[in-house]
Amino acid sequence: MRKISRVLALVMCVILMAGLCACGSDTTGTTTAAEAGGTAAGETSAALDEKHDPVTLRFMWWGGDERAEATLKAIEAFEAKYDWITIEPEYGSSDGYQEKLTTQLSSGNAADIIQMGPGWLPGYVKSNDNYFIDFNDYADRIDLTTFESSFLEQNGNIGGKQYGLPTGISGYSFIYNKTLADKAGILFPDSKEEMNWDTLIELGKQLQAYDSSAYLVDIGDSELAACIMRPYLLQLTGSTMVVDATAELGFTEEELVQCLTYIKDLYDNKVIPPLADIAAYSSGDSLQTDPKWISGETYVGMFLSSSTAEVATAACPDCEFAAGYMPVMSSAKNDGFYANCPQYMCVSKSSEHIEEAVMFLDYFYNSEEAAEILTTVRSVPPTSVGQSVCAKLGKLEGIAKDTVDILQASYHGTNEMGMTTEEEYGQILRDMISQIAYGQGTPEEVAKNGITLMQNFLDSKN
Amino acid sequence: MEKVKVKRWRKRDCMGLVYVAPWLAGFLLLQLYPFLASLYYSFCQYNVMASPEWVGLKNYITLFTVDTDFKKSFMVTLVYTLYTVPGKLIMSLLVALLLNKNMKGINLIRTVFYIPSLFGGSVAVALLWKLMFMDDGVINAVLGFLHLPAIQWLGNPGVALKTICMLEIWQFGSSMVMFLAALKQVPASLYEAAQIDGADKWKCFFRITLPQITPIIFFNMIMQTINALQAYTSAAVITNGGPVKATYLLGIKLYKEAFQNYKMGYASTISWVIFAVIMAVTLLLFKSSSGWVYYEDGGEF
Repeated sequence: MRKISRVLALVMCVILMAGLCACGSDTTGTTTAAEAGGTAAGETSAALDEKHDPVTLRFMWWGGDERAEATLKAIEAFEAKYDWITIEPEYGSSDGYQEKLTTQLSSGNAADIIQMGPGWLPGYVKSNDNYFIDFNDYADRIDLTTFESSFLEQNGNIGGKQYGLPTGISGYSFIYNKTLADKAGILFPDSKEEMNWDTLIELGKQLQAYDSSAYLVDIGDSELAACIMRPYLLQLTGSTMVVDATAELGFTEEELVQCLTYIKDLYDNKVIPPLADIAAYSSGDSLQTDPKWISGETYVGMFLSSSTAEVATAACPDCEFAAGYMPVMSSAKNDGFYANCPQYMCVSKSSEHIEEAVMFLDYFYNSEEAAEILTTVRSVPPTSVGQSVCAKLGKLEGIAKDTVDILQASYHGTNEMGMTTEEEYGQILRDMISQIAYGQGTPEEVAKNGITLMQNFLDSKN
Repeated sequence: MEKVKVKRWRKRDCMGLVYVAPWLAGFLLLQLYPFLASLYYSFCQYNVMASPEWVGLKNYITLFTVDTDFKKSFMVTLVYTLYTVPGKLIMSLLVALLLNKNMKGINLIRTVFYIPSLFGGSVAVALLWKLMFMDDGVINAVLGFLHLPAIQWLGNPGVALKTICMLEIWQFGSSMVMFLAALKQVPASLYEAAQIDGADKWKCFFRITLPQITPIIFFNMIMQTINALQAYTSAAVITNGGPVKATYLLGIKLYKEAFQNYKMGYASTISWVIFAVIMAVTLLLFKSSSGWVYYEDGGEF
């Protein structure tokens, strides 16, 4: 018996070496997708039968209970398959996650596999391009052909290097409580063309006439910045808020005033609730924990990332929800909204077991078993494997998928990444919005002060 | 010429150093080094991931001339200190006076009043406070029960800071224990003499009790002021500095600059400014103390 397994191992080793030679002989230096996929599969079966020293990997992510449970199960299934690899999970809420990650990266003890906020990656790579591996270098260990190549290029790819792999397809979207909307006689447009920024105000007024304690959109300062201010300015100017190449603002003071005036109109016409009403729920994506949202009688709609759509609709089980269209101005130079991804997976370059970490991610993204366990806990899966498994399980139905469908079909705005997604810049936007919300200054005054702070931020980056 | 005898180091002398070595190592590594390093960083641009880059006084200039948040934050901290320090002193003195009485079960009552301070600075209590003072929290429910209008304790910029001050004032236990000890030290003979002369309770309190416990008032005032100027936890957990930065204490600004914006140099600058303010306030308080603090031994030890 023992002899047989030795012979088998030897045969496998020969196959493995042959595989490596095939890659090495590629004179152009680039591995084609088919070869990479084939090699990854060959490697895996060989790896299974080899004798290995035990390897321990750390995997760090944030998210709710559902995601944690599914991820832990996937880890278990992986460990059962590759018994020499142990994965230590490190998970919790998103609160303080980035602070922890930065400290760990700078002190060189980051986890091997890291869930990453898309907005943070450019900053990290800019300070040190040796924090994370380029997945293209490990195409023999992970099959990247199951991703749509343009999606990979737009997500996690910086300067041609694939530092992050998108965990799913999502984006800022709009959902509404159809039960309440029908009761109040509110008809949301069913095409992108009919939905503009004034539509929101008109519908909001209509709702106020029906019930003066109801608001059309439940929205806090973070979502106002992400789903109103950024898209509005993107549509108005056609440029991202900061042009990273020149470190200049992509809009003028007048344009910012116009945007802030629109936000003021939303408050003045009671389309959105006063910030004071939702202050206790507005930090950390928790608007759906507001009893007024749960009751389903105060707020009709909500702007959110489609990855939280399931959670938000589950909060009010008695209501029927639908995905709506996001507003676009008639002369828009850019759609303003777009499908991107909620997080990336990265592998730390300082990891002692990069290959095993990549192997885990190959399992995580490309194995049917993992796809069945993970389903949509990180939104609609980005790989063909994940999508077909979820479709078979009937998991690709529901509000999250509806929002993604609308995004993919109709909105192709510019994915803003870089300086504008850094925390300090985002804070300036949120501060401007809360000043408007609390009436502390006219749009002109707030814009002037805001631009000074943004300029100060940009200067500190040079 | 006489030979000067140089004292040789003996084993005995070295032993002393060995004994204090654990403390010395801790002090040098965990206190003196960070202290000096932060002074150096305050003149640098330092984002943790790259090595610090010397920029001279730039951070200080930005802080005082460009950063409008700093002024706001400074004012919020000042108001917070002006509310919490007197509030805590008065509250703890009142409770101490109450607990100084001889009644049944006094030890239990003293313990109960001290409990909030055991939780001092804890995140759990701050979260509890947040839940209690939410729009649909228990406090507004009680107000509603009494037919009083509900108050936006956390959402209204004019009220939020006061809500947080209340939490701080509620944690009066440590000052109270010290006041209680001081009250016990006041010689009973003074009160007896005053009573014979016909002084009422108020006179006794203002003429005997207060002057006798001024050293403890002074001590508590200094400690509480230092604490208040460095406050962070409650405001960070309950309102995260909001709404509209109404509770944006210097401690929160310091944390955000350091761990969210990764401007360690700038954060060090802020911490040195806070240090300077605390130093100045403490010196001023000490200067003023000779006028109002009464020491039985004339202040000489």
